[in-house]
Amino acid sequence: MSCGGPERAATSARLGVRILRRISMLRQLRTLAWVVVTVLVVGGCASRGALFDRADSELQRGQPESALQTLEPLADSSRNRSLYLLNRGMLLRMSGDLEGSIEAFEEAKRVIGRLDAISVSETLAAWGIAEDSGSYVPPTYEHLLLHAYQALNFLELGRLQEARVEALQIDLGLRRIDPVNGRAPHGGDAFPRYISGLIFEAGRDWSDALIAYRKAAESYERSGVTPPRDLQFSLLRLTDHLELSDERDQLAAAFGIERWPSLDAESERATLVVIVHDGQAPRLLEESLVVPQPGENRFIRVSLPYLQSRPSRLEAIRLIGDGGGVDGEPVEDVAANADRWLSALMPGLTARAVSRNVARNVATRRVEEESRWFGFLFNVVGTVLENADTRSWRTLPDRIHLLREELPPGETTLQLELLTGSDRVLQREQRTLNLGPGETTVISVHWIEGSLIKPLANTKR
Amino acid sequence: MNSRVQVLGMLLATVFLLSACATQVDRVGMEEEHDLSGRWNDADSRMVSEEMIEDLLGRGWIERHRDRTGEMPTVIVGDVRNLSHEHINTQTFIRDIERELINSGEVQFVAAGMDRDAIRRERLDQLGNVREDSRSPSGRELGADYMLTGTINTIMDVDGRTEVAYYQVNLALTSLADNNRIWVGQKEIRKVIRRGLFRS
Repeated sequence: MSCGGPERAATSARLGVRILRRISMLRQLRTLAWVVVTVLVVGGCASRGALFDRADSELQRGQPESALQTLEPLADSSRNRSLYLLNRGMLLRMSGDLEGSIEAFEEAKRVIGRLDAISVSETLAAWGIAEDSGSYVPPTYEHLLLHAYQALNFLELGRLQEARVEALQIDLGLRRIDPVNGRAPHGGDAFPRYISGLIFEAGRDWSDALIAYRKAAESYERSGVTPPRDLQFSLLRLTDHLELSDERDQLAAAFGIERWPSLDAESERATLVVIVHDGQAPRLLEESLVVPQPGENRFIRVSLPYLQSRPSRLEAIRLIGDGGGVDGEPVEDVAANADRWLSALMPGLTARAVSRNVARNVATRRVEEESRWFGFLFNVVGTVLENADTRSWRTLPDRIHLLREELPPGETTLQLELLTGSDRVLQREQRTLNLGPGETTVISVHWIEGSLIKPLANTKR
Repeated sequence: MNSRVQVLGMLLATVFLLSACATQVDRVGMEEEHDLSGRWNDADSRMVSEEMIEDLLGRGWIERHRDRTGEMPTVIVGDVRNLSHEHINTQTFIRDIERELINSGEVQFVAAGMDRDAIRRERLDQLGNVREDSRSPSGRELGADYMLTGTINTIMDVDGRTEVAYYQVNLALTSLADNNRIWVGQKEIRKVIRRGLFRS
């Protein structure tokens, strides 16, 4: 058994108490049932949810290494292997161990690839026992972010060719879902496509970059979000360079942009990309409804997940150099992706919760025919086991901000400011970077509740 | 008696079950093909390198070089870029090419990349640390006449749970003296991957 955290443990324990109170005629069983419920609830729930809560606190204190140690017990759980590897990859990234992160993410891809096929036993368990009884299969938006973060790992190590492989895997993954348009059904493909465009552009694959940028812009618009200004300029620059004048003019009119810097294929200027991973992704919690069955000593319990967002105070980023300041912009809203995914999933989850209660009811009746006491126990245990699946990739950020700036090559001192909505500086980081001519340098910063976990580093292609 | 047979039967069943769970390793010959995932693997790398080098060596440019210079051509393997959708270790492919070239006996072969850097470092190190009569002198490396470069590309076609992976390997031999393309070779592999609907 595995559950979502102390809240769920408390809810389940309260449920156990309520069940026992209402069945006064089965006094002899009360002690035994109490033991069973306590063992199940306390023993099981203390595990995964508590580990993640502790890891969250450690991250908020700016200690990704400790968070990784905390999650280590999950490494041997085959059901949670993919979840462990996703979090491991992210925490190693935050710790600055990009090679370790690459290894973890590659293993995560292999594990998730195997989970692509249907497991009959896990499917039956999800319909008949509990939602979280199967292996963790990440939703599409998490799967896409796995590739996006792996691409960032490679980019930050200066391995553009391998980052390009990730960009192609993003495209292939989306074509597996939607062979015609290559779209993610509930969004989440905009940022991965945008990063793909950056990768192709850094490798001077102009047409591939344009295709990726186009798809990114389409995805932002489908989600009701205006494409980031940098993406708008990129589209104009590339359509101009590839002499697609009709498309360029349409885009310029749609974006309201009259002038843009032209693409100079032979340019010696360096490109700096700063990406700030802001906050912690929303976590899934459980909401339970327990109803006594009229005229029976049985209970119906429906447990469904809901999202609790964890936004930070960070609202904007700014890079200040010799030539003035450049503002970044949000390019990915993980919380919104999670929300869309859960909304789409909810009808199916509700149907499964109902089916589990029906199955449990039928089974309880059968057991009651043999023994009323065992029937009662069966119903209690089944009710306690009825849990929502509250697993998610919790070390993801809440939002991602990005800025791109063309700079003269050579040594340069820059200052990154992380700002609140009222322009108050939350954190200021100054670094001297050595930018190569014609090269793209990618820098990542993880910001969680006041802790700048991964400071600026000078990594370049 | 009956209960003893039952106990024995249960013991045997347990042993069988446990042995089925144990890790099993089978050594297999290098010639045997084991394509587990449908991705680029060692067999693909070996097959492509063998066939392409056979084609490269049979095109008459070696004879022309010998006629012109009176010596065997010297070849260096440059960059083989992975433009596919998989993380392919191009180093193993480069090693396969190098092996085929050396074993052909038709060309001289010089080290490139990290190998060459390591050799140069070792030679530098010898200067201060090795007896003079056993020292390898600097400045006597054999210069390459030709460089072999290439790319590995893929085109993926997806239809439901069936995928067709089309691998295209391009190699080109270029004269270092005048950038003249001496040989261009191409080898394709097509794999049909049917992803299972069910898992255990």
